[in-house]
Amino acid sequence: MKINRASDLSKIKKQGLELLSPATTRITVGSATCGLAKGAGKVLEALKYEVKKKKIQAEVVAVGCNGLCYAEPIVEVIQPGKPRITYGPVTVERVGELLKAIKTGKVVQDLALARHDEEAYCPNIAPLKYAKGKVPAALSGIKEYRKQDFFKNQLKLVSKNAGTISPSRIEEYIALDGYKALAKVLTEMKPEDVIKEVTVSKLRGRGGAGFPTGLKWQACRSAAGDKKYIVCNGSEGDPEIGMHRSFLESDPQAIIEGMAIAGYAVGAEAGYIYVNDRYVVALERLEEAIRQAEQTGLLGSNILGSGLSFSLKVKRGGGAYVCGEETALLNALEGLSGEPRPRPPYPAQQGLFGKPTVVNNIETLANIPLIALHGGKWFAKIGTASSTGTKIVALSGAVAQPGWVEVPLGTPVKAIIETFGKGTGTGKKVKAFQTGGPSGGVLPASLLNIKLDYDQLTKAGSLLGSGGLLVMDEGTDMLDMAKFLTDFFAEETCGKCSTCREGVKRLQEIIDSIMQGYGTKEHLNLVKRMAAAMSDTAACALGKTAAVPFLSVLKHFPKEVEGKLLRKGA
Amino acid sequence: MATLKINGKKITAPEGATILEAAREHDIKIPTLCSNEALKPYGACRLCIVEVTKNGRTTIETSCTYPAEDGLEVKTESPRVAEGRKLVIELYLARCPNVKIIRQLAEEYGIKESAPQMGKDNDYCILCGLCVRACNEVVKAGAIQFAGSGINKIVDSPFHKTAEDCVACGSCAFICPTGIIKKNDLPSTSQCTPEGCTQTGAQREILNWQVEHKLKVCTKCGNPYAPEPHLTKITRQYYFLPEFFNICPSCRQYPVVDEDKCLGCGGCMEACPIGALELEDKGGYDKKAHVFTGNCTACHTCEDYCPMKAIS
Repeated sequence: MKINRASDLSKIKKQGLELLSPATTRITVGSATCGLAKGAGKVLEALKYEVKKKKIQAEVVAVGCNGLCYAEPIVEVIQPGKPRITYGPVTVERVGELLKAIKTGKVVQDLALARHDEEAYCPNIAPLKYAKGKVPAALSGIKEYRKQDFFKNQLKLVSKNAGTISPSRIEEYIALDGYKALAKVLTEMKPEDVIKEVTVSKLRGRGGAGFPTGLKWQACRSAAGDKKYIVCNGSEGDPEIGMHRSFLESDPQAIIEGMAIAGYAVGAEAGYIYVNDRYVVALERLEEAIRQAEQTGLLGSNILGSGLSFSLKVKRGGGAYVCGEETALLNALEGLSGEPRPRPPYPAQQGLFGKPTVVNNIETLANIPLIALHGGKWFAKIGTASSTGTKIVALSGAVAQPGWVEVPLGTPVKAIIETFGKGTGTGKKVKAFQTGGPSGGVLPASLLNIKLDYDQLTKAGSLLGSGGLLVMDEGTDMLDMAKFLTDFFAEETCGKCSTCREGVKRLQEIIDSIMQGYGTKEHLNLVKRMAAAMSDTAACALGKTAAVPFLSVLKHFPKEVEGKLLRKGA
Repeated sequence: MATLKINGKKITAPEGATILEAAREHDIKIPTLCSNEALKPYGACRLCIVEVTKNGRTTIETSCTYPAEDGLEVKTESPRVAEGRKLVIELYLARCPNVKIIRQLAEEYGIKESAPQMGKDNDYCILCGLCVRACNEVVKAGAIQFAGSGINKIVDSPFHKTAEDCVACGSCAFICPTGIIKKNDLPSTSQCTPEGCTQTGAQREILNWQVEHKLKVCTKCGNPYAPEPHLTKITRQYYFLPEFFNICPSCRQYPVVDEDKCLGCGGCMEACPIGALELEDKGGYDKKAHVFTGNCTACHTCEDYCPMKAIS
């Protein structure tokens, strides 16, 4: 259905709500890549087959990931008038048992993880109610999700829809107040007002450097150019982090809405979403989402009768780490090799095809509809004074329950590891952790109380980056870790500038010589000298931080490295 | 015009100039390896780093890419710059210990050897990208490119096979600061088989790109002077006539019309195989032959034809 008035959104919203809490049973399967890897595809097929065979009045829907990656495949059941129940891990063998329970209105107790009486999907908006009246006795044994540590301590703003709505149905996104922000912006706000709200919100880029988004937009708006572009950075070349993928697989419409608002604010009529080519499922769902938005009239020309034109294209990237750097990404988009461009000129002045361009990370753009809808002041209250809002953190490494969570900025790292990761899971203590992907520093357990905050982490010699949190337990050899990260840089450096290319190669050699037992104090001094010079002379953030992992290991775990040096007289 | 300070000295730079250009204009020396006036700034060698203070913030930037803006304060030899530059030279020394230009540079900055803890390679390419950029930006052949990534980056022909688009112009060999790209002009040799011998003709080879092309032989002096595909490319690119390159530049003598002798009969105009002659009005009925040197291939057919011997 194509709509050309903002008021028509409510019609689609009604359709969406009927899909979300239907008159019959709705069974959802968490089918993001994390779930699919654990067999969600088979579970989905089995459920569909069995539902048809047993003639159960139910709809089986593939949804995204709600962050409980350790419990995948997750199946959720919504029956009219009853709370939504989360089950996991549901294997193919247990599908029959689950369906039997659904048919008889019972619960599979040992699989049940949580009960949702209502869906508090966004603050300031009344929750979506599933259960009416009292909770049935059979279900009272299951803990309500808002009383569980995992959900209670999170603040789901950006990821509010993830795992609830189907990524390939725009109606369900609209049902949970999707595109309300775009409608508000187009009907009530001037572009300058939008930028003002974003500036007031103090939103900072979620990609790495933490540059204030409002400033970026303002610079692009005031830059002269007949054409402007919005580019969404979904490169995500970091190893062990997959939250952007997960997000695209769960809620692609949020990005489209965010980009359309950004386009209106800076005066751009076209946008590109650059996504890692390895994210097969994400790409499929994103392309489907764009198609649906176009069909609904939320992308294209004269959006909601406002005269705004905005079109989106998906571009596939090779997934190089350096292509997460905005100028390298622009090069890749233009079909050149992914090497950073010299700055200035900044992308906001001369970006894609030489036109003013805003390059924003997926998570940054997903924040935009929230800010536009609830106002910058509301957003600025969340988090800390200088780091506002929430951050999706991908927990990996030595944690009992890996996955991703969304917490307000300013949450201590320790709390994240303990509440959501449930400790290391190996019985050993946490030895070190790394924030911000490979470019971040490796910090010791003594700094576990550090808050997730742009400035604090930078001060400690790490960075918030894209929000990876890699935990290492006592069994980890830190020099091994340094070698792994330096090897990663050796592979991922673009090789354009001399300091990064040659420096990383030499760092690799130095680590090798220490590992082989003939490292000396001079080796370590050279590393320190190189790290200082590299951070000054390298062309882009990758080169500037390439020595940081090794340097932070040297700084925080000196005994471990020095113990491997060549002893006198040996 | 922008006014900025370099090493405390106030200088002005034209609009759009980089710090490097502004500095060189005023005889301030900044070392570079990857910059060339004919090419766009690239910023790969990181030797030209300077300390830039803008709005109270001091950063290290490459002077070849940073625009000379109003109110900048630039230091080309601050301790931070010196330290960074020293490391860059050391890294180059470790990569290419036997390259002359690197050795000279190291000597200039008082560096004898790279740190002994650094490993050593014996590479000859410094990956400055001059050859690649000259081939793409100036020659517009696009025959060579960077290949590989990370620390294994190299300059290579496509798929490490014969560079099909190479016209053997030799720009890469000319611009290469280390001299690792070599073009060889080979004299004609005989290839003999039991059936008989054939002449190969003079050839130019660039072994780096596995390319071998015939050299065009001047129809006048008989000397080989330029690779054929290069001439074909220029002919097409700049709309030259196909016969234009039959004669080498040193043999090219354009016909000169002696206007006293010329009758204006127009015979030469008809005789010219490519229409490089025309009759020019000199007022009244007077007409004189005129040679367009841009098209003339210097074949001197007109000279042979002219009944008055007015063309020489």
